[in-house]
Amino acid sequence: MSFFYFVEILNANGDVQQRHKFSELPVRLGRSYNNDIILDDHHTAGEHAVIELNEQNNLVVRDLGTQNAIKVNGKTHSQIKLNGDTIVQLGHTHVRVRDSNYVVDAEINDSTNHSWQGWPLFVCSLVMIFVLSLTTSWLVDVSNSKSSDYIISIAQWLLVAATWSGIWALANRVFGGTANFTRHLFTLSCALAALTLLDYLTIFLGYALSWEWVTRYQSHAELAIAATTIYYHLRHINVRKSARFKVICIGLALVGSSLKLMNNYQSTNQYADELYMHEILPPSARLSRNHTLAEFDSSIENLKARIDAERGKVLKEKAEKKSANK
Amino acid sequence: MTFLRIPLLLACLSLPTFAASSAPDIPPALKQDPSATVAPTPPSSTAQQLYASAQNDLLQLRVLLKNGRSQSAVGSGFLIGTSNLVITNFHVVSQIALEPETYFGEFKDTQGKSGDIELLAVDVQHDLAVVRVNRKGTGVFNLSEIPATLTQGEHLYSLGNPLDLGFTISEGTYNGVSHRGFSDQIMFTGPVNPGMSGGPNVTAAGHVAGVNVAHRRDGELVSFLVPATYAQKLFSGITADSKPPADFKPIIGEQLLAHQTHMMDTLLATPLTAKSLGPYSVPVRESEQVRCWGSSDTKGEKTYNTDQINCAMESELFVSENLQTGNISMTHRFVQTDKLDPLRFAIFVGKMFSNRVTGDTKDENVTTSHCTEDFIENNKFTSRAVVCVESYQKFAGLYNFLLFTTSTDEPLMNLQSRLVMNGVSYENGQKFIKQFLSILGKENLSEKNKSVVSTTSSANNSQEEK
Repeated sequence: MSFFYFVEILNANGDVQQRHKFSELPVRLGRSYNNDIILDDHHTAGEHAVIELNEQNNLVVRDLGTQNAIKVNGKTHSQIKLNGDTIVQLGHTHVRVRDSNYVVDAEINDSTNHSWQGWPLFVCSLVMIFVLSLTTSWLVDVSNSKSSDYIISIAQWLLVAATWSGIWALANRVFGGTANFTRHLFTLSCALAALTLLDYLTIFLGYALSWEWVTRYQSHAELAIAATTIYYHLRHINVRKSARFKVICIGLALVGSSLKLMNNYQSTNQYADELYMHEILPPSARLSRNHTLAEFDSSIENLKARIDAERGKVLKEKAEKKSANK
Repeated sequence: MTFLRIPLLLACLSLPTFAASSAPDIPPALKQDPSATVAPTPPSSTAQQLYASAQNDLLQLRVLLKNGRSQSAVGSGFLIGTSNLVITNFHVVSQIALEPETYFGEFKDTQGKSGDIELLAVDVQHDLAVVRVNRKGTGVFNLSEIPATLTQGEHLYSLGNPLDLGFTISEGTYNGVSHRGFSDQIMFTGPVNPGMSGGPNVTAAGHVAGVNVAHRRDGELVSFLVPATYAQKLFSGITADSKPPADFKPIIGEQLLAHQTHMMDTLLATPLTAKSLGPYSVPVRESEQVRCWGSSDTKGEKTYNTDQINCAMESELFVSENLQTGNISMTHRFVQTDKLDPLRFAIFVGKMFSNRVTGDTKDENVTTSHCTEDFIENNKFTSRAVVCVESYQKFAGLYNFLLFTTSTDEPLMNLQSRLVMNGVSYENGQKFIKQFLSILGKENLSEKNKSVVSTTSSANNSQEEK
């Protein structure tokens, strides 16, 4: 079996752009045409570096006395040992050298469901959007709308869905090679369904069980759904970077939630999205116990401490502002 | 509670101070009051004599910005007896009382001479104030302990400087006392225009009958005077060398508290009346001070019908341009459908229940709202109730209460009620809410007197003045 050396020119993301195969060393790199590999990089010298074996028979790259020298992880070296994963920077060019003995990573488990794509996925997404659009329009229809109103609503939902998925498909084509439009459309449909169900669920919990606080912090659950959706869109583009995307999306959700809390506090001095729950369901949906007038009266009594504290806080802030201005 | 401000702002616009407060506002005011420059009858010889004798004691009062000296409010005033004290309206000089670091006042007499004024006392409830000037009266206007007896139809004469155009005298008639507010006002059928506020109103014999205060914009020549006896009461507490208080805010706060005690005691003295609206019985208070109007919307194309009762006080206290307080209103809206299903109807009434209150941290007068909410059951009637309270920043112990409820017992019928109480003590607010909620309920079905809400084409109370 013959033994080869592979010199790989990488892009900034670490993906291989060119791969050169050599059966013997040394291999010379540089801009001039007498090199084994010619670099089209103005930041490299005519004769920039040479890949060879040193006395201990180790693979090394040696600088040929250039201005920009060779760098590994930002540090300048005149000569550096290569272990197959070392990425050497020559000017703006990234180079990696491996030989036939290099041991590659184990294969990644294929988690992609190959049968769940194409037409079935597309039709399923469309059906979800149809159902969502129809239920939403029907629930708020109190003026006996014509069927054409419902069709317009479906068209609007489809337009939004197509635009959103189209943008992701374009990004997928650029960064991941294929468009994956149907997968992005399906992701969006699932997100819309989740948001709608969340809305119904919070209204139900708030009204049936009198858990009003659920509706007051609903926007944070919505933000979590949005972040998850973006995670899945990104995952379609590059499944190998899932872990990094997960961190980014969790970060996005946390930033979004804090901004929402901050915004609420700024406009009402309270962290809740709304001051009270306004949603109403039919009487049959009520499950929890109703309170007596006396109980409600004592909760009004307790409100006094809160509003007095609010006044104290406002007056204190104003006094501080006044003294700061002086 | 931003939505509440809309009718209040209207009331504020109509106050006499407003139109003369800045030049561009004058033309619309003229337009709405065609009587502004035209007296209803040619001046009688009485008017000529009265004006001739009164002109030395008649003053125009201006509130100016310390920074730039531009005028912010203009009204009138009159010297009492031979003292250096002037009676005017509180709303003319309210900015000096509330923000003395930003505003100051000056007077101008009928000869065009001017000088500084010093605010000595205020009476927010009756809209009166006393200021001191550096000149003395000639003794034309006197406040006697026994008020002049007036008979309906008697001629009265209002003096002042309307719209900053110049000093005028206008003639009108006395038409009794209005009890619509919690303090009585004389009804004067004659022109009282913006800028005349604080000016004197005298009988043909020259006795002070009252102080010009306001007029109704939706009527013709329907004007109001503060009876002279209140001016006398305020004036009697002051001497020529009285020291002005360092800060008027606690004094105004106390007067507002006293007013709300009087108002709430009157309202709570007798239990609220129950009226029926659909199958529900709703609490209303119909009295001299609180008027109710009904309306109904049963247009054929709609999938639901609405009946409504609004009750509101036609008066409120002026504290500043942005703060009118001491008033109460209640609204009941009954909606029923025979075309919608329970789910869609519930979602629809839920929308009507939304945006009733929004917190506003930018408001200078009140704090942002805090609310409490609950599902309650009383008289076999279940409902969802929300109470929101905001507190006055400048006046301790005063609150704005907002109660709104929605029925939760019928799938195809809904009753939403709202109770607004502005500028009341916590105790009174809580007490009134309790009384209101205890009456809210379902009617006994054996009782067959289903009184239908009367519909009326008359104006609702948001167009009321002062």
